[in-house]
Amino acid sequence: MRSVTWRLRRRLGGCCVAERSEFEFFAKLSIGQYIPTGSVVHRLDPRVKLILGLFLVIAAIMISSIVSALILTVAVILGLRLARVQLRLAFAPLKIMIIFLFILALIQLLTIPQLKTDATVVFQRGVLKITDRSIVSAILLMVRFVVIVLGLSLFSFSTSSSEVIHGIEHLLRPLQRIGFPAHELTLAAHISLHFFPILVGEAEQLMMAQAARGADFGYRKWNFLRKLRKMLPLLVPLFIVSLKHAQNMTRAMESRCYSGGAGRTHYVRLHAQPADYLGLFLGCGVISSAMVVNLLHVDGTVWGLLRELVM
Amino acid sequence: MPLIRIRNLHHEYRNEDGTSLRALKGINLEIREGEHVCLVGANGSGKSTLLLHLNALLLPTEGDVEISGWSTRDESSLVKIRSTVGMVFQSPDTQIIASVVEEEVAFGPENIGVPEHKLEQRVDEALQEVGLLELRNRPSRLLSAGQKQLLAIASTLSMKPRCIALDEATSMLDPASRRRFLERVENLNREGMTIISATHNMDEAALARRMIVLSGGKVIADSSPLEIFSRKDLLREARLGLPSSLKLAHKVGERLPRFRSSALSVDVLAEEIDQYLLRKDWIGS
Amino acid sequence: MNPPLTPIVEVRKLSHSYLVGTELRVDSLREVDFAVSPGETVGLIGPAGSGKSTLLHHLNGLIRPLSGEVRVLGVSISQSSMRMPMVRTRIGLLFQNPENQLFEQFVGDDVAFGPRNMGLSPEEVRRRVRTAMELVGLPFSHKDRQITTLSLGEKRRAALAGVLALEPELLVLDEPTASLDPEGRKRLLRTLGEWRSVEGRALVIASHNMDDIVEMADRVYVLIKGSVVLSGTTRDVFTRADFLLGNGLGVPAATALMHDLSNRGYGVSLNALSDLEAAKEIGRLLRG
Repeated sequence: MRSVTWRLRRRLGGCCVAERSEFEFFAKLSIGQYIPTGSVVHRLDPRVKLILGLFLVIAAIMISSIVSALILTVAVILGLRLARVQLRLAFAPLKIMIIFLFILALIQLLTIPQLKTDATVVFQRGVLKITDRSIVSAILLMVRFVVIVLGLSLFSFSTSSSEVIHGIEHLLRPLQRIGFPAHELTLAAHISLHFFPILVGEAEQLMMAQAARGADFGYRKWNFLRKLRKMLPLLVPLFIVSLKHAQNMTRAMESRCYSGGAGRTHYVRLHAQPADYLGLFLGCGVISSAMVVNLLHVDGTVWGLLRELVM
Repeated sequence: MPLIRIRNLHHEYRNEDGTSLRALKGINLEIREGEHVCLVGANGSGKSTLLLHLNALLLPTEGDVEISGWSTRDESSLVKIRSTVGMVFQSPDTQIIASVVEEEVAFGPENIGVPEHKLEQRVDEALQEVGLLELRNRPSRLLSAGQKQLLAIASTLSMKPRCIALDEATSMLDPASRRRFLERVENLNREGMTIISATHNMDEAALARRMIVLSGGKVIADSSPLEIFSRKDLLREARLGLPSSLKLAHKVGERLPRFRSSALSVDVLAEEIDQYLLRKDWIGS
Repeated sequence: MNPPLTPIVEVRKLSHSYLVGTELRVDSLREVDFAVSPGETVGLIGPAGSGKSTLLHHLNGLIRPLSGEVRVLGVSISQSSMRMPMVRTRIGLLFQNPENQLFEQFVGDDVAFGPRNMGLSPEEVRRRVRTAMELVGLPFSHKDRQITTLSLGEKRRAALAGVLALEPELLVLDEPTASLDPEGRKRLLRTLGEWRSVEGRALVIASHNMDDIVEMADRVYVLIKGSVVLSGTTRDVFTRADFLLGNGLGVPAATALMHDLSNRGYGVSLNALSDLEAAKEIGRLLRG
């Protein structure tokens, strides 16, 4: 009695072609793109990755120690190496967001001293004040962001959307007993994910069709508002096409007797192996250690040590 | 008992502004198990509407549709009906739901609660039947259009239907993919599957053994392809063409004395010309 | 002797890839040479995924050449000084399933989109819309019809009118007869025939339907996996039945018949594109 597990699938040398977005812009953004490299991280049970991912994000938000943040960063980068993902790819979205990041950090730097006056002032010119606290805040903000983005990248590079959906569904399944529509929600999420590239492709076709009749979409970067206005005529046909697709999909589902999650059996069953438990344990361990370090308030000591080394 | 029995079927589409469109005006049809039927007619003649009734995706405004004795109006029979007649639609992309090939094939049986230890067998057999077994782990979006349509067939096969209805399933395929697709469909029919396909490609229609011509929501002919292709006024009324082999045969007949052919495909025509030339049928004219 | 006409569009060693710089790179065009001159109709055939659409999108500058050259009316469009919207009014492109791209509420407005973008006067816009609609067989009075009420054939004609209203010199069509019933197809080809009869105009048609190509094209390019593997007059290309069939492409029924008979040992010429030519050729066998 063979059950279909993720391990078996991979050993059969399954899909060796990465999912490919028809729309190049999104491909360049490279978050949300699955790149199968067959690493240990790829082979982990998606539930483990989901849990660790969530834990990582929570930790990243909660910590207030730079050392902890750095521990998390190193952990994620190690994870990316384990997953055999090129770091260049993982850092690419950050390159795009870097200005945005700096601006946010700058805002933190300058506004916190106005709100919290109990810190040591490091620099002052007129109304502008920078305190040690605001420096820490700014740095934390950036590192948090980096951790979350890299963490998301790690997750999406190593987990196909199909695995994600199955993972979520399995985790939520116990809730189905109390009436929570786990299957319906995950199917809705699945179909949206599935449809997104199709719709993006349609939008691109529409833009091209209009450009072919003389519409000037222009690619000058700062003409954002104008570009937005030019895109308005796209909305109606895009909407109509989406509705048509939705109708086709519904028909296809109905014709195969879909009627919600009740009474469905499941082809894909996830079975956690010892390796998965190990991965979960290690992952939680690393993240917890970052949180423990956070509680120990070691920042001051580490900063002091560094200054001594430099002096 | 015929597999499909349609009695006095009327279908009216109602628009929000109160106007309505009568797409089917009193259809009476019976289709027996194992038949290979093609449904032809111009765009707007009612082909798709008729097909959608076959697995209860549409309900009659008037009249009855019975699949294996169960009425499509009967809600409790819906699952049985939809497991008996599988539908393959025209657009390769929007009838695929799952992101992995084998999961797509499993979707149908999962919905009807096929026990888990049988699911894999169903998926395997269905994929094998259409020749996609090696691609079982492939992301479904990466298949070619032809493969996607084969996948759509596999997704209905896993529900073990007795009939497959194809709604212009080849119109978005290139000639090579179309050929492969139609070969598979022929195979299935030879193994006993009832096939009903709507098409406006006359070469494809010529492959069926029974042709039903729709025009303006009514059946105006129900006979063999050959018989229908010989009726010029009918073809004109229904706005149909001829398969390319018959057009060729006609022209060739003008040049070869006493050559008559009703070949429904080019290979058959070649064979008939071959025979004609070997037997020197023109001698004595 | 007449000097050779400058091609309306000329493509030299054009290459294109998707997702360059990532591991998912796909080479969609490999050093393609292609040209269309005034008065010609050029056909483009190839299996699905061979790069036909990609090539067509280069012809009016929707995609800039990554490597190689595209010249429109003698000027290379790789120079960014060329204003793309202007190029696109000389070269009209009709996409696959163009009925999905109609976005106005009323037919007349959608057809007028192109001329309006050109900054023409309202009278001129109106004149062009009328001419275009009548050419495709939609009465001008239909300009106030809602697009949602049109049939598939009518929508496709409206989309074609929208492109014709630009009054381009070159019309490029990507699978124009796909999904049309035989009558719709005949009508479309007739419209195209009328349009191209004006001097100086040219047509490029990419199609899976070999009958379209045989009926309309003077020359044909065969694209397989991004490379032009065969090109020449329609006759030259389609009589290479073995090659085409071996690469998953179709040939006209007449040629297929000749091919079959030739394989059976009859000394028939494969040079038959139309039913009439096939019949004549077979007739010759009686006297031979």
